[in-house]
Amino acid sequence: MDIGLKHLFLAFALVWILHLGYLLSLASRQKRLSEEIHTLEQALKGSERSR
Amino acid sequence: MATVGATGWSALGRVSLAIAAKDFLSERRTKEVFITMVVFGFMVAVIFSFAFEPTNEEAQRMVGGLVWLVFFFSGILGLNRSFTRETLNECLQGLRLAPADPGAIYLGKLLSNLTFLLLAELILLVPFQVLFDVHFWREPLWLLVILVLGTWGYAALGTIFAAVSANTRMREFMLPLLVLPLCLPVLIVAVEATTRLLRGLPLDGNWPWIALLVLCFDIFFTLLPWFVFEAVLEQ
Amino acid sequence: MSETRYDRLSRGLFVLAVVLVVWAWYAVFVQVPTERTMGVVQRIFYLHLSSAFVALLSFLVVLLASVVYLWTRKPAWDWIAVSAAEVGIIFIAAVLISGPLWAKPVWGIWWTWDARLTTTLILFLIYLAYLLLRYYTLETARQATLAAVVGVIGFVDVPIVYMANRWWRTQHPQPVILGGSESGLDPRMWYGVLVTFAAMLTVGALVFLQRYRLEETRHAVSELRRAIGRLE
Repeated sequence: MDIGLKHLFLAFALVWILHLGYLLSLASRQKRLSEEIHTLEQALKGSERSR
Repeated sequence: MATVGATGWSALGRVSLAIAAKDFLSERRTKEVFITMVVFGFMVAVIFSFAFEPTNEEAQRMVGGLVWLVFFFSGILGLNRSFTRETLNECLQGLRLAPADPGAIYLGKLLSNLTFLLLAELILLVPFQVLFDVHFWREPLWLLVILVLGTWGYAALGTIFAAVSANTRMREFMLPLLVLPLCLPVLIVAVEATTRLLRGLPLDGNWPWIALLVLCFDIFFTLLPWFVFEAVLEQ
Repeated sequence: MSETRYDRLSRGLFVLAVVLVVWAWYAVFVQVPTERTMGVVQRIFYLHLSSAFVALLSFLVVLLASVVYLWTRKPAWDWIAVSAAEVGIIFIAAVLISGPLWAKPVWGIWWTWDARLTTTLILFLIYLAYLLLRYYTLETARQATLAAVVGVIGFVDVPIVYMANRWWRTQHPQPVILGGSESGLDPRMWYGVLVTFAAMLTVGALVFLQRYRLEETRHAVSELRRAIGRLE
């Protein structure tokens, strides 16, 4: 029963770490892209003004 | 009347055969696909017979699977070449621009790939027969049926995925990754059937029906890629 | 979709997911009875089965989105396809992790080549190939189309792979019977199954939404880049 418990805990832990890890990675990529959009929009406005 | 028609069934046949013929001619000169496959296959056969030194009993159990393993991996080499050869001289671009049904290009390529694979396989049977002392030709008709049906399914998937992989950065790796999982059904049946043949067991009972199933698989996985090949070729 | 709609939907899904997941944990660890022969470890089954269900559903979405994309060539369908593929791979990974961890203490082996496990591994490989193909395609404009072709052919083949493996198993019967689900579940166990299903489905939907949003943002970035490029 002891090994069983360890496996049970490990299975749930690993799976949830996987899900959370992926969600976090998505969140950070999203943030980076939003910042990039902001920068690009500024650049676009800048070059439009200078035309 | 003499121009190459772009539509219709006879045009389909003509274009496919034309493409296959082009590949045959090119191969006759260079022999690259063929030699690659046969030499590689032979080396694997030799290495395996050193590595395992099977008894007669073991050989009869293993060689069925071994032979298809070799067919698969040397086939990958051949399939890869069938499209890299095109990209080398921008032939693919030429094919794209030709006023032909893209599906016909697929069928033509399939035909040439299938032919090369089958020829190489027939030749590769010889070293296996010799090195492992097994008998493939007990029921020649069945052997041919297995070879043709198995290789057809493999070539059908291999041809379209070779075309897909030709557009990627790691094509030598993408092709087997795409093809192996998907041709597993055909591979499983082919291995089972070949092993039975080698053990001298008859392929009766359900086997003709299984062969029919594989035929359906082959036809289906020829039609599906034919249908979507245009998407693969487009710019 | 506008930012605020995304945020509101995400927040809603997140709250729902947390509620359902906590409920599922309570159901699985406290309420559901312990299985007689396998003991505590059997509780992995709830996680395992529901992950498999969500994964298959995701791959079905990939198939449908790929077909529609090839038909209409509207980018949004490609975004759906790739998001569903990534979600699917995560859940299949969960199946492949929970499976062996359950199998080892119960049946003594980490792995066996029965039909279900083999097909799960194959599914994983196919969609790994799908994602790698997108990553490695030389011309980004073609990524979507090529991937869609793989998406369609891949999914259609999977049931055939499963059946072929089952047939093969009849030729080479296994000494150990690796069952995925128990025949004749205690009704209290069905309750556990349903709650976990609901929880995993919500988690899947949440992840899908985030991934879709990311893809849409990526598209906006490349559009902006192109606009700037045109001005210079």
